[in-house]
Amino acid sequence: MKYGVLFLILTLVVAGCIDPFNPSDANKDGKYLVINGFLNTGGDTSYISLSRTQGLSDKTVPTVVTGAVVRVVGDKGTTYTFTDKGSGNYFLAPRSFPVTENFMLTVNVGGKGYASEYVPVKQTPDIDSVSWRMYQSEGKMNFVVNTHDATGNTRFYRWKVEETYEFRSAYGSYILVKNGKIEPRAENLTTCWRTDLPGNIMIATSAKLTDDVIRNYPVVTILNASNKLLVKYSLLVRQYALTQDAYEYWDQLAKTTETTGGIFDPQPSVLTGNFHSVNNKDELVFGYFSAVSEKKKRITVTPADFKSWYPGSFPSCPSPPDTLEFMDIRSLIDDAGMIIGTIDEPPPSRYLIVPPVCADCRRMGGTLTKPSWF
Amino acid sequence: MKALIPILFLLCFCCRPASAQYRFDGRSVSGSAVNLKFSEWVKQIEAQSDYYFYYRKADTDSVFISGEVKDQPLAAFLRDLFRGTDLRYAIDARHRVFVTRERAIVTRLPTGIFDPAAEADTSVGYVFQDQEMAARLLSNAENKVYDVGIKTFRIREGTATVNGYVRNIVTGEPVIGASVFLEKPSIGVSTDALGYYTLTLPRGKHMLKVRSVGMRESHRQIVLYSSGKLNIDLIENVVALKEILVKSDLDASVKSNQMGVSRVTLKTMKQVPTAFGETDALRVVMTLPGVKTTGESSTGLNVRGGSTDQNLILFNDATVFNPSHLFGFFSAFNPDILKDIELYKSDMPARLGGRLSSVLEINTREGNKRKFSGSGGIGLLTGRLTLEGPIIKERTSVMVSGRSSYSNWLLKQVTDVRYNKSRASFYDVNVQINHEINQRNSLTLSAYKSSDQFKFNSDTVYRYQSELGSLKWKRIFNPRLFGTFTGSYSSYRYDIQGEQMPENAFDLAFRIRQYQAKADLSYIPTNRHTFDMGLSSSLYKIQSGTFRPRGSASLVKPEIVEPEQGVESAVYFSERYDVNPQLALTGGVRVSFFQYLGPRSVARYAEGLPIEKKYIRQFDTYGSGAIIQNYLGPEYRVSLRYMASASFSVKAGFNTTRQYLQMLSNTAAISPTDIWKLSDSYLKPQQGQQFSLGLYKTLRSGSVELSVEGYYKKLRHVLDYKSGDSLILNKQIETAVISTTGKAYGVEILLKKLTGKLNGWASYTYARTLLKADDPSSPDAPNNGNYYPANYDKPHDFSLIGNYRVNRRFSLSLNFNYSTGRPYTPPVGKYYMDGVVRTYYAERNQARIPDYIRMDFGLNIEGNHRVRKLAHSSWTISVYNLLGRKNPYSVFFVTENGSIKGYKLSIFGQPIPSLTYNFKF
Repeated sequence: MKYGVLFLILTLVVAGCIDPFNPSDANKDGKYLVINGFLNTGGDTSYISLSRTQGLSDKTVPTVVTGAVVRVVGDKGTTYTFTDKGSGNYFLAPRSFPVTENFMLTVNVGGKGYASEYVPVKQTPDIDSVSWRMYQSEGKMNFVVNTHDATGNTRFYRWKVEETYEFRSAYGSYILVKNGKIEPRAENLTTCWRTDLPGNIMIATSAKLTDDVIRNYPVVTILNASNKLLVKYSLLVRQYALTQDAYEYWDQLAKTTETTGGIFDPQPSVLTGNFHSVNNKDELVFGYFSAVSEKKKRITVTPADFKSWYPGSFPSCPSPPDTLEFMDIRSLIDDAGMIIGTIDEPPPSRYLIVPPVCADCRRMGGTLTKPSWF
Repeated sequence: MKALIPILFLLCFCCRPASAQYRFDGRSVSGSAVNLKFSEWVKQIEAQSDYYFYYRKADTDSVFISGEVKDQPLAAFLRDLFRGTDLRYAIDARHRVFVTRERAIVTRLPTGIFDPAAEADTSVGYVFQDQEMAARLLSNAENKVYDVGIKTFRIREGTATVNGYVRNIVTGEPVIGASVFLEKPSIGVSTDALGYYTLTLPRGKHMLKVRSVGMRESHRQIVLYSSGKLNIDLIENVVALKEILVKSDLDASVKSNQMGVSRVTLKTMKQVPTAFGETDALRVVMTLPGVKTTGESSTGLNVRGGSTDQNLILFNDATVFNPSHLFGFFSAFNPDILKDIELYKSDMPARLGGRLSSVLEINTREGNKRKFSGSGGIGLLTGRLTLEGPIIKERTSVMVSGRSSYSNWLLKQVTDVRYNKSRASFYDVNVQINHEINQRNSLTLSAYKSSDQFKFNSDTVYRYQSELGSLKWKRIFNPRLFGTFTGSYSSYRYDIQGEQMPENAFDLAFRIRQYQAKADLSYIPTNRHTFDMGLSSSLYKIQSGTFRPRGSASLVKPEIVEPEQGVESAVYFSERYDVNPQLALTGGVRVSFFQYLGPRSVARYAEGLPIEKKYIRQFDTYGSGAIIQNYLGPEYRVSLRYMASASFSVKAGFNTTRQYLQMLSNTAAISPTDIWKLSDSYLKPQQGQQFSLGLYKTLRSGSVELSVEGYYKKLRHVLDYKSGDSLILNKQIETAVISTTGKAYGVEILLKKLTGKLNGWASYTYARTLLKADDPSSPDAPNNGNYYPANYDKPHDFSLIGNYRVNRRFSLSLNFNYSTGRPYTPPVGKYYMDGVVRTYYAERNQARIPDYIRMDFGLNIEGNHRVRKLAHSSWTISVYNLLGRKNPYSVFFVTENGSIKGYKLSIFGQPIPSLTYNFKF
């Protein structure tokens, strides 16, 4: 204790004082327009969604922008208007676009106009293959994509993926308490399907290579612990060719928003994309408009494909089942616990109860509907 | 002929004198005697005449008179009597006889003394020879008349040169910057860094005055026959208690040719209260106008809009790469050995270069050449001790000093497990040997080592070390040509050991070494011209970073960034020309040359694409010593001074600088993990250009000084950093940086009073520093290629350093500092892009952290002033951040539960009291 005062001085130095800081200009968010989407020139529907930026501490769902007029305008006179589908989404039915024309996207909302720069139509080459590579010692699986453009015109690539997988709950519950009686369940709650859309930015370039080839670009890394591969896993890879500008935009966006924030992190910078406000050049608009065809490839795997390796472990329940008399579970609801078995048959007098997360796969983020194509 | 010969008996006690009688008729002496006492004889003579003898009995008690004389003139009698002894006599017109030893009294005034028209009789030979012992006493030295040159009967017309050293009488150290001057005609010079002066004067008699602040003013009476030497010893102002050496002249800033130069002496440094009670040289520099720092725990200086790596910090001529201890809480220099600090922020002399913004010269004093002494201090966290003394008296001195923290034992006492495994310690050691080979040659050897270790919660250890060494040979070839030859070595390294888990334990290391040799010559043909010239060359070797596993269990993959090396050389020439007493011009050019050398493999990027790792096309390999890139360029240094009146001057300057070595730091403060990088094929040398104008005025007969300096600066190829790129272990640094063009401008106002009971200074600076990407079309260009404030842009800055000496034992100090907050880039909002939330930021550095306000208080208590006692001691009590204001050091933002929250970090949230005991023996 006698060192207390001295120590206080020392800790003041090393510990410092951290206090909340609300800059006077915090939450100066201007409710700026955010434009998501691209013009699909590959014979598919194009989707554009409009929303607004939010204050940093705003926890609500972002405001969508409805009633806007969204048009795609070519520099040789082609103009198409998107259809307002409601809730901030706009679509344009598939049609063919002349590859020699440059396009821009214009948005008119509330009397204000926004426009992108003109972008060329990029043709996306086919995906050569999507395959997996296992790293047994590290307990992970990478899914990699291979592509090339024999004409050498693409050079810059971006991918988006959609992961769909089937998974099981740790236990199966086939009976439930209904109106004070044990009844069989109508649905099977042990098997679920789930689709994830990872939003991280996946881009690569062959600019430094002599050939326009991308080999084994890892689009997804799956850790065994995630158990995604345990039953059946399907990965849809969408590939887009990018212009160099677009590539640099996505690269910057990844750097500024995926790594900063800490005290010793490098300085971030403002990054909006290729839109601008027609009326007020100081107004920010976020988004990057591209005109590109989309190429897709799907790969579906089951543990049998991995031969010598079993990717993950069968789900387990964090707590062992409780054993309870019927009297104790007369009013049991699924939110409190689920019956996974009986003891002392017949007739059963005691029941094994587990927390719902162990027996209802929906509670791990899945749905009971199997995708039609799965 | 001479029948009677006086016989002299020396120390003869056995021979008893016989009584005898001499007659004296007012002219001649007759009579005889045997062993007559001189005093008896004098009585007889005095009784018979009006002659009167002046003598000391003790001088003549061995003089006895024997033999017979007849009508011998008194003068001849005395001449014969004193022959063979050191006794001399003189007889004046009023019949007074003066008997003295060694020299006879001059009884006649020089001719023409009451006749101004007559030519001065300079042939009078009554000039004391230079007696070494007498010269030690200043009062004697001042009363004497010194002959300079070869003594001649008649002084020739024309001029001659007098030169010599001005030294401190106690320590033998040179007194630098002392004025040696004549009042009429007005001729004067200042002593150089060796304390040497050369002054050309008309031949003849002069009263030479010597003046230096901190030293007692003195003068020498000289008779200049021809060119010669005169060394002058000065006594320190007794109040200053020996360790204080204030050099700059009262009106130095008005009179000197240079502008933008600040000199801080140890005395001033000691008055400024600091966080832990220890005198901190760099903290004091930060209070000077035009000098800013990004934060509290940082000793990184931003001088006139330059970044922290644009300052050349020299410690006895060796480059310092990290001037701080413990992440910047302490400066790396032991205050006890410092003499002074000199900061050049605009008029960099041509002999210095290699950095854009400033040169900070830290000079240590020489060890005491006359006696052994020591000094030291004990504070709450650190202790220091300095011992010094002669090896060969008057010629060689040694000074050894050490400083160490002892916070470790403190941390171990802590019962809180969160802290008791933390460690923080540092030490630094200094050895300096000064040797005077002869009057014309002297050597200085200086060595320095510092080490820091910092461990937090037992998992990560930060260590960093500096090693500096220099050997300096000063030679005076002739009174008009001096040379300084210096060899120096500096090394800075850090390593970080991560031991959180054995599997990922690592060792991250970095090192930079510099070997330098330089020669500087000064030639002063006349008082109106000074030429400086020289050359220098430095070899840099940088181990850019190694990342290695630590321990056998570690699975870390070793990663080694290729080391790099380069040679920077320079030649310079400059001339100072005093056109007339009002106008002085200085012009110089420095040509610097840099070679970036192999071995190295250099990335080549796809043409027409940005320099990004993803666009690397191939690597070109260069062999060891192969030249990868050359850079050559001139640097101009021009300035003029015009004295409008004795107390007012105007100065203007233009200078350009080049820099081939940069520190890469994308964090707010200097952190120990910052790396140094040489210019290479992609990183062009930084270039600076500065115009400056200053007005200087002394008020109240020199005790108050007011100056206003303005500057405009252009910077080229200054580095800023791309968003989100790491610099540590980055093999292609060129991909992570942005080359920017900067402009900086400002006005600095300084009001200074360095004498009197109340002293100190107040300074106000308005300064802006703006940067702009060189390639505005690059997607990395901040703010769309427009100008944006630099990280250290703090427009308003006000400092007040006040000291009030209550009496000789108590003095009070008060500091006040206000500055605008540092800019930062605030996050403004968030949005969803492809289903993922993204934060967006305002333009770079568009918001500012809250303003900085701090007040410190200090009290110095000196021990009693008895001259003889075991040790002089003093106590320093200080309170840092008296107001307890939580000045934010930085602000940062973290995502918590889906929303982004802001926090500010302040280093000192409360007043920090401290107590230090200093002693000297």
